[in-house]
Amino acid sequence: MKKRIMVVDDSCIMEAQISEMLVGTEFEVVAYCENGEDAISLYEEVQPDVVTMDIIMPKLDGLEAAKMILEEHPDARIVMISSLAYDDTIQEAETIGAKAFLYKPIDCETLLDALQKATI
Amino acid sequence: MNNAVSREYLAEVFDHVVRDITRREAGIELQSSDSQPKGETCTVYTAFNKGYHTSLSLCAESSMFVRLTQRMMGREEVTAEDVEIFAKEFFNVLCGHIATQLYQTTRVPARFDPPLFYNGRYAPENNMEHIVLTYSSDKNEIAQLIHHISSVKHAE
Repeated sequence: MKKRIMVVDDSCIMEAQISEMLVGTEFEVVAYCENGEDAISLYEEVQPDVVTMDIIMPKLDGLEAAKMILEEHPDARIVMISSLAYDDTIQEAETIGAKAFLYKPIDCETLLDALQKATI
Repeated sequence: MNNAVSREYLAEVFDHVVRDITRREAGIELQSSDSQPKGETCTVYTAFNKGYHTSLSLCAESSMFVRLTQRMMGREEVTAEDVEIFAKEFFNVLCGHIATQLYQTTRVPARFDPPLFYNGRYAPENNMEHIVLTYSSDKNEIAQLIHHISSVKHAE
């Protein structure tokens, strides 16, 4: 059975790109939403194995959303994916409990490595 | 943004990131140019709202945005909606890299709004062009990255 991925990104391109990268792997994208607010409610419903989370999004940013999901679900596995890679942002993601921080644009190998490590 | 670092340094960072991201995201090589965009153009724009109070836009001939979308999607058939979505995501990544590179020097963790897409050339009100970098693609499409600063503040 494939591990279920939920993609959170205000651009649907990431969902398409990640889905494409995961073809033929042990992972599959099962849910997508475009802001942090929706991510919180969709997480409850989907209970994915891993969430990939953008940071800059409308309504609620990815760090806040990740924090709220992890407060409710401490075992949630979240991989942050962003085009912003400030030291303090990476540090904040680690403090919140994110499993990895990937810098856009991402490639298949980097994504798979992060997802595999997140699900160990 | 312009207060924290020199104009020359800003231009250097912009130039490096535009060329690098355009090549990595779409396989399109850009060269410096003196030409102006011709015919149908589009603009993607964002304002920096934390750390800096400036904005950036990328105005290019529509054909370049179409080609960028085709390359990023990996198919020839693309719609106007695809072009808008991909142009915004491309610019989001580009601005993220610019902000991240500037952070290495300034330690200012700037944020920017989700990019907006306009048909034609877009210029924000009460702003003046501070830096304009002009490029020609490998298919001779012209693109300009424009850094805007507030003309009101500048005049004070």
